[in-house]
Order: sequence, then C-alpha cells, then structure tokens
Amino acid sequence: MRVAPGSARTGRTALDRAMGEFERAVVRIRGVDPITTELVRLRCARVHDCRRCRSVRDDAALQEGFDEALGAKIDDYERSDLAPRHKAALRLADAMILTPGAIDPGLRAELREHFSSSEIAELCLDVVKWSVQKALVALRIEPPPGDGLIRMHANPDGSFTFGEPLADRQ
Amino acid sequence: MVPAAIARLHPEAASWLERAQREAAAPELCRQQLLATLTGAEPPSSDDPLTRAQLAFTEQFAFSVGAITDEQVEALREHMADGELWDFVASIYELDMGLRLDLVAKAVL
Repeated sequence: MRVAPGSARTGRTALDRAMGEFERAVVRIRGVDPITTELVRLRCARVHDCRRCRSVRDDAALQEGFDEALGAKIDDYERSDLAPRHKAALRLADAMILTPGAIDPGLRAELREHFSSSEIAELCLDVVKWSVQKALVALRIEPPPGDGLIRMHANPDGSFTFGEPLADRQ
Repeated sequence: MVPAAIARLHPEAASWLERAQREAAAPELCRQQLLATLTGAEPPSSDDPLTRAQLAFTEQFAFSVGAITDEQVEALREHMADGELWDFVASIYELDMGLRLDLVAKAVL
C-alpha cells in the first residue's frame, strides 16, 4: 500500500464523485450480454493486474453460464475456441488497453459482424470503467482479494454488492 | 474529449465522463507523455525533479500499471501528500483512458 487508507476514492473531491457516477452509469447500460461483458472485465483485470477484480465473478454472467473453463481462455484467447463474438470483444478491449495507437484496420468491420453501434460504444465504456482499477493498482490500494472467488452482483443503481464464495463453481 | 459517437449513443455515461475529465488536473507535459506512450509521438522532457517524477510515473502508468515501482511512487511522495498523490493518479487515469477512448472510438465507431 503506497498511500494512507482513506486518501483515495472517498468521494472527497468532485473528480472522485464524477468517477463514481460514471462507473455506475456504465454498469446500468445493459445492451451487451453478461458473458461478453464479464470476459472484457476479466481481460482488463488481468492486464492491469488488479488482484481484487480477478477474484470476483459477476452474478449475471454466472447465471448465463459463465464458468472458469471459459474464463481460462481469456489469456490466450486468440488461440482459444472462444466464440468469434467473444474474440471480437476481447480484441476491442486489447485495442484500448494495449494498442490504441496501432488498431487493426479490420477491427471495425469485425465488430460490426457481432455488435450494434450502441453495443460497441458500450464495450468501449466498459473498458474505461473496468480500467479505473489502474489508479488503485498504481498505488496498490485495490481492496485485497478474499480466499478464492466470490460473487458480485450489480444493483439497479449500478453499484455492486459482493457476496458468497464460489468454491462450488471452480 | 468524449467522442461524439459515444456521447450520442450513451449520453448519461458520457456526461459523467466529461465531468470527470473536466475535474481532472494533470499537467500538460503528462498529457504529452501519454500521447508519446500511446502513439509513439516525441516524449516531453524536463529538468524539474517533480515533473520528471510525474513523467516517469505517467509513462509506466500507460505502459504497464502493474509494474509501477515503489521507487516511482516514492519519487512523487517527496513532493505530494497522500491526498495530492491520489488526485494526481486519478487525473492521469482520466487522461489516459480519455485518450485511449478517443483513439479507439474514432477507429471503430
């Protein structure tokens, strides 16, 4: 931990408050299916090395069939058997978090095979939202991971509630 | 700085993102450093110790945030209290992701 507890994300400043409102507004957008969103969230978590984000699983994605076998394909997704739709979403995530200055010219057409304009914009905003952890990771003040995986549930207002362990879903 | 297509398609989220970007207060040289890291543009330089620490932190933040070292953070803490440090890092996040969103949205929307 590189700053004192309470120095960050307390709603202390107008910037903190706007960031929080932005995050909740993005979570309230529900155009993209939960599994695709979860794959993008976990890609951000792994690239940014957010220990907390890697240790939680979205309830809606679990209900739609997300499991750890699917999640294990994220790191090497290009050589995986993930659906073309999921690969396209992960390529968009990588364009934002890894190579924004060298975007594959074919990505636009590929995305449009699987997503509407609104969904593509939503995925872009998801990456911004799920990269907020960069600020926390930079100072190593992200919440510590629990033992094993735990559920997180998106509330109607866009906030999250963290729930029970997922030992039965390993 | 939120791309027009994003603002048109998701106005509420875009409005809050614009608000956050307005509240962010990162030095201009840090914006230039982010552009250099993201696009290969010429990076800025400075002889001022605080600015040099900010630029080094910003470059690492954009390139691989998980690899930021204690020394890079300590170099900032020599000049900033904890609250100021958080405000700086949060501002760099806003600038970093804003530039990324702009570059990518223009290409895919």
